[in-house]
Amino acid sequence: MATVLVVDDAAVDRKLVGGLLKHGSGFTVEFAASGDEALARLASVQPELIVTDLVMPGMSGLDLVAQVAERYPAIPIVLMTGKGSEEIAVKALQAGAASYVPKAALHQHLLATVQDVLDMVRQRHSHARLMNCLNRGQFQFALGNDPALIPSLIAYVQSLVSSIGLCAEADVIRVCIALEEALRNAIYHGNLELTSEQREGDPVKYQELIDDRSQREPYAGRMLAVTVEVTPTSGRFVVRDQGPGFDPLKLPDPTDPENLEKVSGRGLLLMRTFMDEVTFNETGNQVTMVKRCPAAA
Amino acid sequence: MTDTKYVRTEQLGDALVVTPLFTFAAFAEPDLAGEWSLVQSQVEAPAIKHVIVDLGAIPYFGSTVLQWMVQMWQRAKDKGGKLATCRASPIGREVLSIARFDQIWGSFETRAEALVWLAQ
Repeated sequence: MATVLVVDDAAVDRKLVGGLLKHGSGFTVEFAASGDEALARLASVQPELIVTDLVMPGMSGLDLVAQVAERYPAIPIVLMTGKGSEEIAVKALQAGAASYVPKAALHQHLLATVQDVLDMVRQRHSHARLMNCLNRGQFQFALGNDPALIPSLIAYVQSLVSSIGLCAEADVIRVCIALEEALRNAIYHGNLELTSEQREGDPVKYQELIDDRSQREPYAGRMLAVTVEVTPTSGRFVVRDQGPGFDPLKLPDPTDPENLEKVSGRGLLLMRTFMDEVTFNETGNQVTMVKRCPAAA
Repeated sequence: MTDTKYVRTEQLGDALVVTPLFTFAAFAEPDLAGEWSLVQSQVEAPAIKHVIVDLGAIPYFGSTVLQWMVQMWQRAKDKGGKLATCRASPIGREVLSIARFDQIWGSFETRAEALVWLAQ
């Protein structure tokens, strides 16, 4: 039986909302007459969801959303909005509220909204528990030279690495930065054979060059093979392009004071710093990056 | 001030404040190229001597933003100016440190601090 905390400075509204929740779906309902009281109750009561008025004296509903999002991020909040408070409702949704119900339509929509939000949260918790049981994730992607897919691929990897618990969140970001650099190198320097000097020129002309080569052979048909293997103790990321390759040993050291003013050349540096291992095949068109769990290393 | 999709610019005295707004989503590069070209021309304007890169809108960044910053720094240097960064996240500061740019660019918590340093 789920517990819902109802927050409203008007007693008659608390009674109305409480009645709808108790009689409709048998929720256990706790009450608070203000945002401050709600925060104090949360120290002892662990509701699955909070229903709050938006406009209240003292701590507003918007402030309550911000406080709960920071201190109790697992508890979703449904706002009750009055006429004329649409702008504040948008801000509250942006601040982390899960949904809203107009006060004028509580009878029609409150129960369904609360149930939908609870279902979504429970599914999210269940998914998180399932991901804790994940022992290995292995995927292979065959991509064309389509940079627009890269953000989705990185988001996918970020979610996988976070879910499997390979490393702390800051390290997950580092892994994503390294992967983005490897993908960028593979597409632009590998498959499209663009040079650092070309990249350092006029950006519009560089983009025109990208567009031209993306549509013309031999560049257009080249693919990118991305392999991701992740376990709780290590992540292995392989990016292979179909370009002619290069010799990474011939790249200048960007941290050498002589090279600090060079515009390019820091992608590989970031890859090597953020991953535990970075190795290239003999041709130089495949890079393998490994990240190990700090506890297992 | 310009407020486009990937980068925002504002002028504070003789400093151009450049705020990147993108992370990995910037792979839609046709628009990015045009915006970056505009930023370059703004840095080259006679009224601008220094550049402040406000990194507060992006939680992390990679070599593309670093490249932008070096190019802006070169243009500012040509005019006797400097480049400072502000509001970098912990990972942002780490990236700047890895690239050794913390040794040559001022790095500050606020724009105001950056402006004071630039005026020295």
